[in-house]
Amino acid sequence: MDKGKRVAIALSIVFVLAICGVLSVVFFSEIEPALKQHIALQLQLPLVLTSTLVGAALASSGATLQVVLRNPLADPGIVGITSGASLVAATLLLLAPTWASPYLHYLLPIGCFIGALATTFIIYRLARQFLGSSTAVILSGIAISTLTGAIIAWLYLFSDANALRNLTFWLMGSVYQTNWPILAVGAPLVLGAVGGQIYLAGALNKLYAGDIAAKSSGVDVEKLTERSLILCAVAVGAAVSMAGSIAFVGLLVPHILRLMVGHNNRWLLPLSALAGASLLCLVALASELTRAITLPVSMVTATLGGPLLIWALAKGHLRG
Amino acid sequence: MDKQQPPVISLSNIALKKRLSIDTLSANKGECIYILGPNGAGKSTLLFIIAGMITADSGSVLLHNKAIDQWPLASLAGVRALLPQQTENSFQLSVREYLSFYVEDTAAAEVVIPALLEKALEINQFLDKTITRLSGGERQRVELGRALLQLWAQLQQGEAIVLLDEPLQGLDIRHQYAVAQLIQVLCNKGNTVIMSCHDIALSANYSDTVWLLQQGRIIGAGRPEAVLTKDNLETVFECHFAISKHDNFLEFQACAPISLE
Repeated sequence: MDKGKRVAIALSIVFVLAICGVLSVVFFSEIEPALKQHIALQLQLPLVLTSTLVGAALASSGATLQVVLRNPLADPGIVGITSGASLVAATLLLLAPTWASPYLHYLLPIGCFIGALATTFIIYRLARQFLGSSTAVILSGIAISTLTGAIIAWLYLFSDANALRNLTFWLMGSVYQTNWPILAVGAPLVLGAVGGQIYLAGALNKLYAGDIAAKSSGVDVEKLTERSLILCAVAVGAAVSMAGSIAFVGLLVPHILRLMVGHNNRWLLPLSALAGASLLCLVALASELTRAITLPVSMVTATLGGPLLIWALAKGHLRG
Repeated sequence: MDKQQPPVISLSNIALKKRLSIDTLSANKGECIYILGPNGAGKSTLLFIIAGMITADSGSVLLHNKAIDQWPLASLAGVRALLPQQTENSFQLSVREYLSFYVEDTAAAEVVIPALLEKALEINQFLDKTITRLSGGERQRVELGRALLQLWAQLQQGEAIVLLDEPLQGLDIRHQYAVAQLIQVLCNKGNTVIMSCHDIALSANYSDTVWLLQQGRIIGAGRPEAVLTKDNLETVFECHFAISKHDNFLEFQACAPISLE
């Protein structure tokens, strides 16, 4: 697998360069050393870590979900995991009483995490109840997303302008919302979940031939599906709670990597994590360079993602 | 076949809803069994029960004298292979990559199709093709290869159990006979093969034993000449049959369903 190694090296270089880029923005600025150190430690480093963790979590979860659900279109957003988190975020941002606002910074990540896990659970139960197939998971995901979207729209109607603005930015995603305490909780969750996904890669490979073939070759398909969904919910829940809802990374990164390194998940999952991390670090670098602190991540990923996806479609590699 | 040995597979009093009801059935080591029967007779269900993929409502399935539900999935995968009927694939991976996930030895970077398998299936020529672009018959050959590669080492030692659900589906006539011969060779090594099939003549001439199924019940089980009689076939398939023998080769002719007029 020379291709895999080459892509791994290339991605690592991009990743390291992006991180160095973000960190050097402060380093080369003309401010006094003490302040420089403070900014690097309290702002730049959390920024880099958040981008890395969120990118890795979304891309690797997207790759896992696509294989588990046997659907190349699966994405944490499409199967409804993010929608639960968004609903909780919207409720907190729009309805929280004023006295609670100082704590919102910590309430939000916890709430989002619970929201993501709860929707995954509901979607999985619904899917098992109705059909028990992977298509059912996606259909229930879409149903749940539609429903939460509707509730959020109703909440919009009854809230004030300031809360609306906060929510709009949250829904577009940002890698500037974290600090060390949030990272201390989020990082182990993301690392553990992504590690778990990579650990399952060998079993996931067998799903390409379908449920029955996988089961007869010794993979407990139901248990694998359940575990993968939980790992994805944990990773995505943590990512969403750190950076809001970020579109496209989970769909785009794995697809482009499959064109480069093939379908072996032992390569694909770790490389997706690395590529997702690099992508978000590049976005962070872009917003650092343009000094646009509020540059919404989803805006950038969607701007890059749309054309890239169309390009991939045009090449005929993504046909269902 | 050594009759002293206990059967490799034995079923007793199997019942599954209204789909299947079987008193006793067994398969000996090295036996080559073809399951015949009309659509919906329960051929796939029977294969799935033997493979341990579906649990029957009642009755027992013994594999090597051990109840099938006592076998962990992973060790089951080391003694028996199952080829389900075709499944679609939404990912565009190459045949080489696809097969590599199922070859036992994951350390091997290259998928090597064993000579015997290649002779019958001829899949080396499209190893680099995308799996979704194969024709139905080509895909079926790849699937057969995948199922057999899962326990190729056991197959060579003659210790494997192979369950195939319509392995000849979609194959051209040359490959149908090539696969039937491959299965014969595998059985002669000591492997046990049970497969469903719709070609009566091929079944009669290439099997040791035929299980004739109708509406979830066994109509006959035994030597092909004994089971595939004119009477049995006409009851099960509701067609007129004429059976003749030329140079030790059984020929079957069927015409229009009886109940059509």
